[in-house]
Amino acid sequence: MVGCLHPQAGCATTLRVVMALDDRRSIARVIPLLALTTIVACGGDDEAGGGGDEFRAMVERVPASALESEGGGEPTFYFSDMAIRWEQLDLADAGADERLDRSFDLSEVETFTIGPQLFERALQVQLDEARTEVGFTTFDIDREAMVVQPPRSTTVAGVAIGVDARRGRSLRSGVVRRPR
Amino acid sequence: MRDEAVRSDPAWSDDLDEVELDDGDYYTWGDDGTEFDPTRRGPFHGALGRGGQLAVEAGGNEEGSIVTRTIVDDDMQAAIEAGSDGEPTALEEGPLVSLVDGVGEGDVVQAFALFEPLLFDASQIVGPNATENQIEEFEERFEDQEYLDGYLSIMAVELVDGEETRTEIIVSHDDDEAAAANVEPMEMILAEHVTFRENRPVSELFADATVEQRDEAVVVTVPGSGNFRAAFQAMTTRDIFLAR
Repeated sequence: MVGCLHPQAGCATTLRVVMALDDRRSIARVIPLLALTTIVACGGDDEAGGGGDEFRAMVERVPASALESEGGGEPTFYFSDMAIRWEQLDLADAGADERLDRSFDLSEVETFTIGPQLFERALQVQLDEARTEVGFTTFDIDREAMVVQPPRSTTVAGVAIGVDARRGRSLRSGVVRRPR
Repeated sequence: MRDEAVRSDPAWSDDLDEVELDDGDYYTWGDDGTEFDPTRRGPFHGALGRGGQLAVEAGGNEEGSIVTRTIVDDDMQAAIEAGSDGEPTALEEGPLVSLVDGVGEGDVVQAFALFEPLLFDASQIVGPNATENQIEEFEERFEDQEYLDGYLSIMAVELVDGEETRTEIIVSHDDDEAAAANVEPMEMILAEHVTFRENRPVSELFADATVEQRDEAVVVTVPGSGNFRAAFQAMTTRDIFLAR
């Protein structure tokens, strides 16, 4: 099992794979994995291009600058469409907790699924902690595109949970305005 | 729910700021996302406890949202402005364009891309503790293997098209001529190579694979499921599709 989505089984092996990928560049290369850039899109041989609309739509949200090589290293790109996977397991309408319970079954439809990496793989089973941090979990992610170039990363993800209303601008640290 | 969570997270809310741009807003924790604080670890902030940035906007499916996560502020601003003047997207410019254009019909389930040619490195395959003699012996053993001419980048994708699943390995080149020159070597690799690490015939690993040129890309198509894993491993271990 290499990089299986199931966090309990896959976290260590996935890390080993990623480290092997970049073993020439020291362990510092692993750090960016923890913060990814995710994008998804799809197409075909039609005018819109191959891979499907969803895949292409996600790639379109990734800035080209994220793929510029920097410091002698080259970026790595990952994409996962979990909406398709969950559909294959009849879990399209399931919640995050049920998907976590059934995540071992992913191997029934394909021996290897990269899976979303916006949340650190080793901690993806911590659904309550993820909800405390940002209000959603890795099992709420429909699709994700990510560009990793340590120590940087950019991840774009389509999430099945909508945007909530903001509570105003009363951040403890205040609003920062930093036009580019 | 998300905004409430971000603002009330006991570990990180003290460091929370919000940045407003013309094209969108985002949350940011601390000045430098590459710094870390393991005492504030979590699934989102990671085992190292890193701040960074988070943007959330409506989109995706009907009731969903699009989330962008970065570690460096400039990357978030680029992501928010992607598609506007002066900030092209990865679908418009850069090394992913020709790879995406080379993908065939169907929906991508997963993809993995490297933006440099895979180069033969005996020392990496044999292992860090190998002697020079062992490395030389290994290099001699595989000196007759076929190699691809230099290419730009490589991507493996798993596609579903109706009831069918297949894996495509897309290898992009400078131009059509460079791609055409790699079609025959690719066919040789699929027909006659053995993997460097396991000495396994590639024809067995990628059974019934076919090769075709799509503009500046050479595309290997492997029908059936289970092949994306083999392609992923071949790329991460530099075991197949090597260039000289």
